[in-house]
Amino acid sequence: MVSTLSFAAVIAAAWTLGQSTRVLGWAAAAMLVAAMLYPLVERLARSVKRGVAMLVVFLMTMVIVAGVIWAGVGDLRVGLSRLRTTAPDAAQRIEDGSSWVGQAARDFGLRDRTVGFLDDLPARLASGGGSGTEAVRSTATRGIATLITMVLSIFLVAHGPRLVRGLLRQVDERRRAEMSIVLHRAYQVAWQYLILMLAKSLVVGVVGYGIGSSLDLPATSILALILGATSVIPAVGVATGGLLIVLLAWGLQGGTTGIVAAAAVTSLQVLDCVAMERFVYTRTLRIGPAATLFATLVGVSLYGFGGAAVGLAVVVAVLAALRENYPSVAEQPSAVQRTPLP
Amino acid sequence: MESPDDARIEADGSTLVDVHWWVGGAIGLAAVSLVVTAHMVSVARDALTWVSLGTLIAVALESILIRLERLLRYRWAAVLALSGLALIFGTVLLTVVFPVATREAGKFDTDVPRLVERLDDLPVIGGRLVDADVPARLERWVQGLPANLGVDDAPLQGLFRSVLDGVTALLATVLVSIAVMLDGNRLRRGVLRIISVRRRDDVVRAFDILYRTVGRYFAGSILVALSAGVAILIVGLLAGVPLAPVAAVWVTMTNLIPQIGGFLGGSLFIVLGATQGPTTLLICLGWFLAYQQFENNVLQPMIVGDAVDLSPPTTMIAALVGASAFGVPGALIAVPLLGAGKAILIELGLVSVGASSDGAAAKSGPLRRAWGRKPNRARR
Repeated sequence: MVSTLSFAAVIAAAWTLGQSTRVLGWAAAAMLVAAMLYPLVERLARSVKRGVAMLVVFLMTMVIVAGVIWAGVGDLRVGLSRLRTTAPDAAQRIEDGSSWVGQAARDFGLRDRTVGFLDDLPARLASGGGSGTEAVRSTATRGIATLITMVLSIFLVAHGPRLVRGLLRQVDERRRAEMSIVLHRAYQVAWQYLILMLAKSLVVGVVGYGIGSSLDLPATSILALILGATSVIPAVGVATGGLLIVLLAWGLQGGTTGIVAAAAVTSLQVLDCVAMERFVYTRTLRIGPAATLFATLVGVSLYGFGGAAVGLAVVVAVLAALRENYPSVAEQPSAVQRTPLP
Repeated sequence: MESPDDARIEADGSTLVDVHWWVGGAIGLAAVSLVVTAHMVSVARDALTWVSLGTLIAVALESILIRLERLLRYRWAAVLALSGLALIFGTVLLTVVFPVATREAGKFDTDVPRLVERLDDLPVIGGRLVDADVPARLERWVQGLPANLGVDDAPLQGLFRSVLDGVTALLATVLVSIAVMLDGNRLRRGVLRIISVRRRDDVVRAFDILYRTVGRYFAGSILVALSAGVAILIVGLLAGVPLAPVAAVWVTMTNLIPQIGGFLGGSLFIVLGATQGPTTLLICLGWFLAYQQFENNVLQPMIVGDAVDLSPPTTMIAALVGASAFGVPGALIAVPLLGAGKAILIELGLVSVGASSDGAAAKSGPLRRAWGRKPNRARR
């Protein structure tokens, strides 16, 4: 009887979790937001009442996020209207070429197809490629998701420490103190890493905006946003995000501007590697590009860009906890030496 | 015999074991975690494929990277040099292949009707193809193609999306490869940190076997497949075989499937050659058979050798299962993983095997192995 009930409970739990992946995604995002904002609330609560501190921190966060979205959408609209004149000209230039590329572009009808594509683009972006009803449904879902995530984050900031203490109480007393220290230090290191990475993204994004503006590229704030977001991937992130700037500069302004853009992006990548990343690593922990890339790629596949942020935070937290818990083996080389393939 | 504290013998002779409720809870939790993980894997399948493929490429390039690292002192410099070389190679390949491919694509609408006309003249299978209405169906599809692409934008949008997906996949795979190459040693040290000191040397040995087997098999198989594709492309273009680039791509892809890949790839090439008459058919057949002999007896043992010590049916089943689960990357990874698993079990003494019949050959050099023993992956 007990086995049957246990089996049924496991099936029910698995089914329920399978059905509520979206809600679990919101919960994960709320945990990340709460974990990031909690130290700020704590610091501000030393000067004002805790409720007021929470209100101020959450309001400031919302204002910053809304400001970034507003600037991005506005710039995208202006950039699109500019693209409608510059992109067909660039397509025409390619068609006019005498090489096989020009011939292929003429056969394909590149200019006409570019014009058609850009005419349809605003409607596609507005509806996400679907019908008007789908656009309304999608907007409503996103609005509800944002609201739920925000409310959950507030609850978690208010009750999070109590929940963690409750979980720790389930562990036997001997290990509780040790576990508490490891978790606390891991949280501190992970928080510092994520905050410094956010600051680094901001710096890279601002420099990217400068590069895009000086080269007179359309939708500069979106390009800067992409560059800033990809710069969290150590060693290769800036070059990856900057590829779009280089391609746009080359396609719209010509080869020389493309080379200038490539030089600027490469310089920024080098600066990121030798100065900004080292600054972050010496103060927190070193996370390589592979772990960051795995986490963000899988996160994007599961829950979109929010999933990438959560994935990165999870990997950072796990690696910080592992670093606290396990001694380094760098100083203890193994007896078995590594050799190249024959 | 004395029974443990949590077990007692009943009157009827059966043993009743008292299991703590935590055991049930842990099993339940494991089951739920398994379901959630399976769901996540199915949703993030594309990303996991890119990650696996990128990691495989990095592992395959590790030996070159170690040599470059010795030369340039720094790992990042070695990765940069290797990436630069790959970029130059890719650009040259694109510059050479792309014009040919676009020219062949331009001839597509004339080549296919010509091919359709000649299908019923094919010996043995021509009549059957006509009975199955294959030539007429192909003709209808080709006639509808320009209209579909010109008037209806849906196929073009699909094509655009496919190209965009392809570029995303390529970029992600390349990025993962570079990241794993940069991070390889640190990842290795990171994994070793969480292994107990007692077990660390075993894990290092397992790592080495995995990276040797997978790297050598993967890099070797890709090289052999590309070589087969190039051989078919050159002879196809020289002999005037229609859709030669398509046949070359097909041969390259199918070459990765053990045992039956050669037959699958060659049959299309030979059928396409047959449409040009008996002389072209004989050239295609002769070239393909000769190339297969060279590949199976010289190229394959020299490059891939005994990277995986598995029997032909095992490699075939593994590759087919891998392909059905994860496509081409799955077919590529399944065989070396199985081979590495077997080698690790033997190395760690977890399974015992008799003396390998290939032991003597394995100790000899690649050329001697090539001429002195039957290839391990006698595939085609």
